[in-house]
Amino acid sequence: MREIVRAQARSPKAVAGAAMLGMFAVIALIGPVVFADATAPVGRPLEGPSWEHWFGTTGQGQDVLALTVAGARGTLVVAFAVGALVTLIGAVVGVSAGYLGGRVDRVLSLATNVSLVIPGLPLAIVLAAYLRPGPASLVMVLSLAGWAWNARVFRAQALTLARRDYIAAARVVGEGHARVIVGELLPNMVSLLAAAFIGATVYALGAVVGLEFLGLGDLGAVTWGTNLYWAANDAALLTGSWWVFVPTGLGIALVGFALTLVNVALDETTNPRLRRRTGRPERRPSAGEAASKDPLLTIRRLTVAFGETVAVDGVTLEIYPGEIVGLAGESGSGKSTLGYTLLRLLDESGARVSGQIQIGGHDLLAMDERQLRAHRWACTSMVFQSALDALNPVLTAGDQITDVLRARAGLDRAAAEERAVELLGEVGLGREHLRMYPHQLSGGMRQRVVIAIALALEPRLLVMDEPTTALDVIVQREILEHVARLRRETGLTILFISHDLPLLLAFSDRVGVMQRGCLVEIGTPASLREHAQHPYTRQLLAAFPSLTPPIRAAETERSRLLEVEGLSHRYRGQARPALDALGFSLREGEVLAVVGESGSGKSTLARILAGLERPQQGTIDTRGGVQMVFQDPFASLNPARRVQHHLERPLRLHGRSATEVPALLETVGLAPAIARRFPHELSGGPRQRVALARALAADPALLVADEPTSMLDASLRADLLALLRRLARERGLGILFITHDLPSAAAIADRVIVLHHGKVVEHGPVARLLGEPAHPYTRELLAAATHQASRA
Amino acid sequence: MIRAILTRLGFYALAAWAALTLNFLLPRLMPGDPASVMAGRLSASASPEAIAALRETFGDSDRPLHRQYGAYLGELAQGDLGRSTSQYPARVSDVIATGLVWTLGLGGVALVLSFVLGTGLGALAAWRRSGWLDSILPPVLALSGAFPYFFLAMLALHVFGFTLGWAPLRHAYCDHRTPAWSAAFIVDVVQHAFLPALTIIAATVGGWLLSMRNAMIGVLGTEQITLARAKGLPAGRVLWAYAARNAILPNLTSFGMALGFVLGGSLLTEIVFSYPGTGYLLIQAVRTQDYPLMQGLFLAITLAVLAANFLVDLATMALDPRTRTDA
Repeated sequence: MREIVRAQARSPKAVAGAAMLGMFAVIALIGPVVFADATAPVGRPLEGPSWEHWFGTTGQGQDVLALTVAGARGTLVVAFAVGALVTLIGAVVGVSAGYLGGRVDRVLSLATNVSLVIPGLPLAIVLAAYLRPGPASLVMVLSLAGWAWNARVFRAQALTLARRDYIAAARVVGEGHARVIVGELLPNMVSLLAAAFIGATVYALGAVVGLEFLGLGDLGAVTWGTNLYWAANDAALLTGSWWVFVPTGLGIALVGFALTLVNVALDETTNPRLRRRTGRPERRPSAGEAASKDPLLTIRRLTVAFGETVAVDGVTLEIYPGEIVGLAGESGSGKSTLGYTLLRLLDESGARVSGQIQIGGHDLLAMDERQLRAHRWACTSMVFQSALDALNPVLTAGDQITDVLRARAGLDRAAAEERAVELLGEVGLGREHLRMYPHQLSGGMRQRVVIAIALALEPRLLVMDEPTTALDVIVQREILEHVARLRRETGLTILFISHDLPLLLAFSDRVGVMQRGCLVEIGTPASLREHAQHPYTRQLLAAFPSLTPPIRAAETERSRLLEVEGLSHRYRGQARPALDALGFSLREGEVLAVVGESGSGKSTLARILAGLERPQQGTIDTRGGVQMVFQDPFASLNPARRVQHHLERPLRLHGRSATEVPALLETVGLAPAIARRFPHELSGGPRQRVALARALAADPALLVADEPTSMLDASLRADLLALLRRLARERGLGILFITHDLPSAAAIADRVIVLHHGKVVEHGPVARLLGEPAHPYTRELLAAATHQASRA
Repeated sequence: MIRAILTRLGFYALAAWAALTLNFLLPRLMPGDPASVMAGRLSASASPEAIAALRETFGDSDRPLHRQYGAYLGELAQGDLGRSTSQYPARVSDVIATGLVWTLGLGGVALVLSFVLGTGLGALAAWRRSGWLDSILPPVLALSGAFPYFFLAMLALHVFGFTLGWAPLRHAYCDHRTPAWSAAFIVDVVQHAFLPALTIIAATVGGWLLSMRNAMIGVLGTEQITLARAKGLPAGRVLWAYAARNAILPNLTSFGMALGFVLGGSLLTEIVFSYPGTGYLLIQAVRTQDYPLMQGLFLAITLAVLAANFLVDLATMALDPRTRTDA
């Protein structure tokens, strides 16, 4: 909130707008006092501007300046009142509908939509015609006709926010609906509230003046709208007396313009993309011809910087034809920037690039726009990380393959389609997928389409930027095996970028490791595994838990915390149940891993145990409270509230004192000073620890951890697993650890249950289950995981 | 697809019913005996026949409300909106029919032109960020959009009509002509419509331009555009088939939703130009307290807006495959 105000003070648009509004506020305040009898005739009718009457006189000989100044208050008061009322009604209706959902939402949004399509101004005119003219009637009529737009905007925003994990987290620690709306939702809607109020006031200003102009205001009062009404009535237009209506019109326009300025400035601070760019990307001078022709790609001393930040720092790398080179590194290490630079996709983002890149004997950085277009895709193509973002939702999969074939390979429609079917076949899709839109395809299929697009022009070098991160292990393995086969068959050269080192070690001929923009080490998987030189490489390798569980002390008989029996749940409109007659138990101090792919029902189980969802069948018997840690630490903390708030609320709700915040932070290995920080000031690891501290604040007996480590980099992952394990041992906390990652399960769990299509297909002690899996599905999961781990 | 269309049709049927009911309830919710109150207000200016017409429209207040409602729906089904009190004995439906043609012609064409122009320029402005289009147009249009429509109309009328004499001052065609499908008449109509249409476009084009520009900037930052560019597609295809095609979807939805307000503004423009459309009729009805005509006009405008919204929905379905399956 304070930040938004401070940002506005720096924006010239906001300052200019606010200054103009301030000026009109003063005019509105003193105008009717200074010109108390503005309607009295003081001169001859329709006299032009003169020293005596600066703005001239009206048809009745009134002073136009006096009327303009005196009229400001009446119009502005009504406009701002309508703006406020419309925002209030819109916020109450919209937030209720969006947050509460269900039947409340259906009724409220139907009313909103019906009200929206009924034209507002004609309705207001008819309504006003029945009422006694005056400011109160105008406010009522315009609020009634105009509330729906804001309700719609607020509903959309509340709907998005209500799905955020931090709202669910607040519910889990025990907040009521009212506190969630006031304490969690509204602080995230401050800029929307401001924008809605300003937008509504602009609407109201135009509408008030319009109605008054029609004679539906109080004609005895002096307002801007009635000024224009009389101007039109006295035929000022047809006598050429422009001065009668121009000053009032200018006043209205300036207020409207000032409001718009403030709104644009507000929009720019909340949406930084809209800000005008300054400066142009620097063009690098051309470099000399290639020396060696052997490697396909030669990178020499490549440095990429954005402003002060150096993303890639003096990287030198050669890639030979037919090779798969992996590039590992944690987020922010510069590996994706390197990939983008190989297609010069950063030209427009203001990146400064220096060094040398030779691809197939051509100097990439020296190419002009035309050469670059010929080079892209035909020589180097790229598979982007998120297929959902990379595909155009309004074009079919086929269109997105054929357009590049038609534009670049000169094929006609029929030939392009035939080739597209071939390409889809190469990635394991069929002709039937040609006419499908991205939203009709599964995540794995979309990624295959993106790969097919990348292969369209038979490039020599394929850059794959985290191509399978968003996918399940099994789907991931299928896709990568396809890519490996393509390489064997076509001699494709691949640069494979990923944060997943074991995956790279399994699929690459050589693997490079990047840290803070530098390529610290490169070698074959075998050499890296056996004798990694750089300490960072060794750290990365060690951070990956193996599939062999550590030996733990024999289980003593401890009391049961959780007993689940016959738990079933089916979502509306889904053919298959999300959970199907689930049963298991959990003891004090025990860690139970629930392993499964996405769609196995494991997240539904978490939400039911945390009380976010009501089970349709079955019994859940718990001793003590249940708390939850969510998957994404960037979504589960409220960006508008400090760490202190996140811990203080659950402490108070569970009868403890806010003075326990520092101790709580220390329990999860954080400094007490962090309490004053906002979540966005912390990185992923500390954020997840704050989320864990919030769960502990509510004093749970059982902790449900839904993939708590999947968004963390490898080294942080191991730390958090150790912390969870310690909490189980020292506090007797029961932990239900939900994961798709078998190594994590091996590192932390006492027992494992494997979930598939909502059913438990296998369960048992971790050593037995990973050592000698009985069910084919468990074996398949294990094969996908060991495929990477064994070669690592 | 069919299912999605039927769902939308059902929604508009509901909205139309809500408008009909609102129209029925409005005069009856007024305190006292509405027909008598209105008749009292009119007694000085209107003929006894006109007052009788008023009573006919608002029914006998002694009858229970649901009976009146039934009779109202029955008359409506036959297109009977009662008789105008100010132009007695003209039927309200006939009076509206003459006005609706002019409004749809002027307002409809101007709004569509403004939308096409605004979104097209907005797409180009975002495409060439910080180019001349992007530097000059948004602030200029933000200022022109801040003027009330009818004020721009007054200004345009004064400058181009009165001072310069380039355009006719009032009405939809010269008084001495009779409407006919002749070239001379059509030229005359276009000449009369030019200035009002221009002011409507000037007042509304900025809004479309700015929202399209901002939506485009959002889409241009996504990976699908990076991929389209990386594929080496011609700039035109990236701009229109990838960026604009996606950015226009939210704008199209607002177009439908804003239609009611924007049309209201164009009604005020008609009043300034004495253009014989529904807006002009509406203000005549308000000034002469011709309640039957006023309500009939409200109903007609509402139904026109609902129909336009349905067309916008069809356009959205054509452009966005995701809306075809959603209920």
